[in-house]
Amino acid sequence: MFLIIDSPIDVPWVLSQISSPENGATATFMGTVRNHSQGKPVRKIRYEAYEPMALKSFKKINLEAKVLWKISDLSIIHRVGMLSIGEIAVLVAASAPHRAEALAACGYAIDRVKEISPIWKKEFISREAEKLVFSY
Amino acid sequence: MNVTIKLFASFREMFQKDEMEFYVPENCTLLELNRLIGREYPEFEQVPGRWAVNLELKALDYRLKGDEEIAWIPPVSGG
Repeated sequence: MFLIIDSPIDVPWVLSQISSPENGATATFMGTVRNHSQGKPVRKIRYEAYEPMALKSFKKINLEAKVLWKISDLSIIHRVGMLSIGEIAVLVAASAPHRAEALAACGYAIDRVKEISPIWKKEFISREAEKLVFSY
Repeated sequence: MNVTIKLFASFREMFQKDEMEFYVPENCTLLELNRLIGREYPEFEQVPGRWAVNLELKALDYRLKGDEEIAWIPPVSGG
């Protein structure tokens, strides 16, 4: 499953969609909004994506991971819009017959998302100014 | 020919819009497009970015045909 969505990620629902009797392992990674960035307090983060290209990049990452490991499913879901501290910005879930492949593919996929997917975040600090902490 | 360039993140804020129309010569390369935009908007060249054409990153020697979907991709920061 590959999605860019502007509403909260329903993790149990996603996991239910990829469960299969042949799988002995599902590894998940959730990226959440942290309340600090390089020493500065963060109040919220806005994410934006070039959606069709981001979805294409997720499919590319899936193909790469399936060449490297014996996995049955890889799902990548990224949220866009304004997110508060603690909210899930990205969910990666890799399922496989065995845990080593699931864990490896999950780690690989989130690294690749951060490397190639056209998604950007903007961090907001003070409530008054909502000024940019760092450029994108 | 006119090309429409999709803008994101810092570039969207810089130009205060999601898309920018630009007139370029026929068979213009992406490198020439960079220079044409930079001539009109010097700030454009101050933030690194890459060109995506039809959802794929392209090298600067790519020649535009005019019917592609073109986007300027600043450094990504998802996840």
